[in-house]
Amino acid sequence: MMVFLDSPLFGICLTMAGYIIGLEIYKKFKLPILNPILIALIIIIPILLYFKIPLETYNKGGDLISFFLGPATVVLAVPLYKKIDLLKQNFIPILGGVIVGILTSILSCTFIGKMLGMDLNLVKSSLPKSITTPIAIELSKQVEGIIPITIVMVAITGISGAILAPFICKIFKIENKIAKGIAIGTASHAVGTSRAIEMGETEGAMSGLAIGVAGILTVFILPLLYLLLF
Amino acid sequence: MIKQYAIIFMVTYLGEIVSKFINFPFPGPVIGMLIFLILLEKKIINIDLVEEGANTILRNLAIFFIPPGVGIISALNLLSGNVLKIALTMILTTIITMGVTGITVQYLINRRRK
Repeated sequence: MMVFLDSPLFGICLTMAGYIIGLEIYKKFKLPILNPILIALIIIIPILLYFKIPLETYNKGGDLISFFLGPATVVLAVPLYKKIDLLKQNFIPILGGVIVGILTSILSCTFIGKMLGMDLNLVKSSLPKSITTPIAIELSKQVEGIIPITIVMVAITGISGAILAPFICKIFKIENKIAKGIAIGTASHAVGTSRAIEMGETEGAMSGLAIGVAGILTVFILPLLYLLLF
Repeated sequence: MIKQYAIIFMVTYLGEIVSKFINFPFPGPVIGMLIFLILLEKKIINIDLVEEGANTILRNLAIFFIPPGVGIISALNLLSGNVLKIALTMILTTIITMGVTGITVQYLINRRRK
């Protein structure tokens, strides 16, 4: 058995298969709850556990794939560049809203997590949960979070945002399209943005813009706030 | 196409180098992203030169998170008994964050119009 596994290609093929299955299921049903990342994890993890395949064996290939997280973060500049005029036109409301949103996310995670008696490592892992996964991974390292748990938390956040966005806008009486989009992108990154795009063109564009702005600003805010809170 | 990826990798590398020289714990890839944004804004790099390669990566962004996510295997003991708490916290904080952000943006827009 080990002979078949002792190659980076094992991890690469397993990851690709899990991702493609996850993506196909998501495309077929278009339900946010069927998140391709979560489906891929639900396929891959039991296989490794059942066949008692060590994580290190999987990671021979897995590391080659996750290496591309760096370039994948860098290219987030492209959608941001294409939407930067929207930011310039509404600079103060967008920047103000995103900063308040980041503070709200970090503080609510800290207080609700502690109130529910969550393990401190889990609370720390949750701090970057509102932003896009590649940046959240980097920040999770900095605040002593557990990276895989952060990834799952980011996914759950995106799913909740995508499902609940229209109701949240209604409850909080958010009617302005720019406000809706910025709120969705700041709170629930790209997964929420998929729902914002369905809500309308302005909402989608603003939500997409907020992913990049919130990601960058969180890199400045979180390490400082972390020193104050923990 | 290879030129597109070459530019993207060079900017990533540049970000990594810069991050080692500054005193703030700023992740290399994010510095790379900011450098890339400035290069695009200042038209030092034309968007047409990188857009296709960037979009190919962005379309399949999720696959790169799967291997780090699988690492949750080594943290399963921490998860047991905490799954509901985690889900509840994530849902509540998303509702609060989205609501507060939206209200703030809306308030700032309306104030400016007056």
